[in-house]
Amino acid sequence: MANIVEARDLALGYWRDKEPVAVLSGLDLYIKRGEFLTLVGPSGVGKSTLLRAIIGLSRPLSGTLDVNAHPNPGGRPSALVFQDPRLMPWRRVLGNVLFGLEALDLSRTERVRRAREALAKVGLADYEKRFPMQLSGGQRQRVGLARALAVQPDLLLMDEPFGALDAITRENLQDQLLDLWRNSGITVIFVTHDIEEAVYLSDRVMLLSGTPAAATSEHRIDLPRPRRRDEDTMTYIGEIKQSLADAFQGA
Amino acid sequence: MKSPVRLLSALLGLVALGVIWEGLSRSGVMSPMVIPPLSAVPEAFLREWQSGIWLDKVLASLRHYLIGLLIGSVLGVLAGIVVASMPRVEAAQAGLVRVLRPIPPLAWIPFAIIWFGVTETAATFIIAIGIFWINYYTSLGAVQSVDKGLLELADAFGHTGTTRQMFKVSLPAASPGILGGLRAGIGQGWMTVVAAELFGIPGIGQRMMDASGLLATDVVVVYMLTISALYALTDTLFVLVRNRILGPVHTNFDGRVAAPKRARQGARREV
Repeated sequence: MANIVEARDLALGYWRDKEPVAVLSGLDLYIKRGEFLTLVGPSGVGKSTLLRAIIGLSRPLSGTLDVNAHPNPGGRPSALVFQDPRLMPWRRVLGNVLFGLEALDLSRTERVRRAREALAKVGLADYEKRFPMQLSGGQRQRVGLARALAVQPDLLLMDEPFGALDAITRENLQDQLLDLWRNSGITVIFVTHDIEEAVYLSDRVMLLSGTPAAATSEHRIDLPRPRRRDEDTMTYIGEIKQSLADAFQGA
Repeated sequence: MKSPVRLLSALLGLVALGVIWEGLSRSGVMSPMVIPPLSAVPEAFLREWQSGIWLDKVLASLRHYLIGLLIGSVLGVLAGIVVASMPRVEAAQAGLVRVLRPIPPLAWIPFAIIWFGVTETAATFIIAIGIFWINYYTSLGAVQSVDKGLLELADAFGHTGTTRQMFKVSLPAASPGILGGLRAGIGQGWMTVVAAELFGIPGIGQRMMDASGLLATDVVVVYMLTISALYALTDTLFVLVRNRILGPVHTNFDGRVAAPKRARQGARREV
C-alpha cells in the first residue's frame, strides 16, 4: 500500500462523564509514503491530538486510523519530536538519545553506535557528554530530533518542534530537517502555527479548523526541491498564506 | 555575597555571641547557674571526656540515632514510592495519614514505653517515627510531581508499564526530592534523639537531664554543643554522598548545587 497513514471518518477527542467529546471529527486523511505533510491551524484544533493518535498514545473515538509504517528490523514504526525538547535533565546528551533505543532489542554496542550516528546527523557529534542544561535551545531541539531519528522510524511526527526558537536557529533547523528527510526517504508529518514554515518545508499543507475540527483546505506545494529562500519562494508563500487565510476565515 | 565574605561574617557572628555570653557571666549580670561562662565549657568537656562518660553517651545516642534513621528512612522512602505508584492506595491513605501525621514523634513516648519499656528500642522507635513521616511525604510528593510529559515521552518511545517507567523515569526524576527528604530526616533525628532519652534511656539526653538536676549547666552546654557538632558532621557527610549520587546533574553551570527547597525545613519544627 502506498499510503503510510489512512484515516477515514476519524473522530478524536476525550471522554467526559462517559460521553465522547470530539476535538476533531469526520477527518479523511491519506498520507503517501515519503511525503512531507504539514498540518496548520489554530491552537486547540487537534493537531497534536492527531499526532498522538498516529503514534498510538490515544485511541480514536470513532472511524478508522491505519498506520502502515514498516521500520527496519530494530526500529520503531514512528517517533515523535515534541515542542519542548523534553529531555531528561539527569541524562547526558548521549543518554537522552539512547533512551528510545533502550526499548528496542539491540546490543549495547549497537545502541551506542546508532545514537552517535543520529547525533552526527544533527551536527551534535561533539556534544554527547554534555547535559541538556549546558545546551542552547536549538541544540536541545536537535537532541530531541536525534532521539527520534535514532530509533529509525518509518514515520517521523513533529509537534511544533521549532516553535520556541529564534528565527535564525529555526531557519537552520528547517534546512537541516529537509536534508535529513531527502536523504532518508522517511515520511514526515509536521505540525506548526507558522504558515511560512509549513509552505517552505512541505509537499502538502493541510488546514484544520472548526469545532470539532476538520480538514478545511489543502494545498499542494509545487516549489522545486531543494527549497530556497529566494524571491519566488517568498511570493509563493505569500499567495498560499493569503488563500489559507481566506479558507481559515471562511471556515 | 561572595563565599569568603560570608564565611567571615558567620565567624564574626559566632565570636560576637561568645563575647556577649562571657561578658554577661563575668560581669555578674547573670549568675553562673543560669548561664555558665563560656570559658567553663572546655574544662567541663575535658572532665566528661576523661571520665569516659562523654564517649559512652555519644556512642549510645549515635546507636539510637543511626538505627532509627536507617529504619525510618528506608521504610519512609519505600512506602512513599510504592504509594505514589498506586493511585487507589494513595486515595486510601489520605484520611489515615491526616490522622497520624500531625502526631509529633514525642507524643508516642507513652506507647513506646508501654510497648518496649524504658529501653533503647523505645528511643529508636521514637526517632524512627519522626524520620519515617518526613521521608514518606517527600518521596510521595517527589514521585507524584514527576513531569507527566516525561512519562508520555516514555510511552511514545515504547517504555510502557508502571514498573519500567518507575525505574526509567520516575525514580531518577524524583531522586533530588527523595534525597532532600533524607537530609531533612537526618536533621530531625538529632532533634528527637535528645528528647527520646530524657525519660531515662542512656544517652546524651539522659546525661543532660542528670546534669541539669545537679545545676551543672556547664555540662549541659557541653552536650548541647556536642549535638550541634554531630548534626554538622552527619549533614556534611550526607551532602558529600548526595553530590556524588546526583553528580553534576542537578548542579548549575558553575557547579553550585541547586538551592534546597525551603519548605522542607518546616518539617523539623515538630520537636
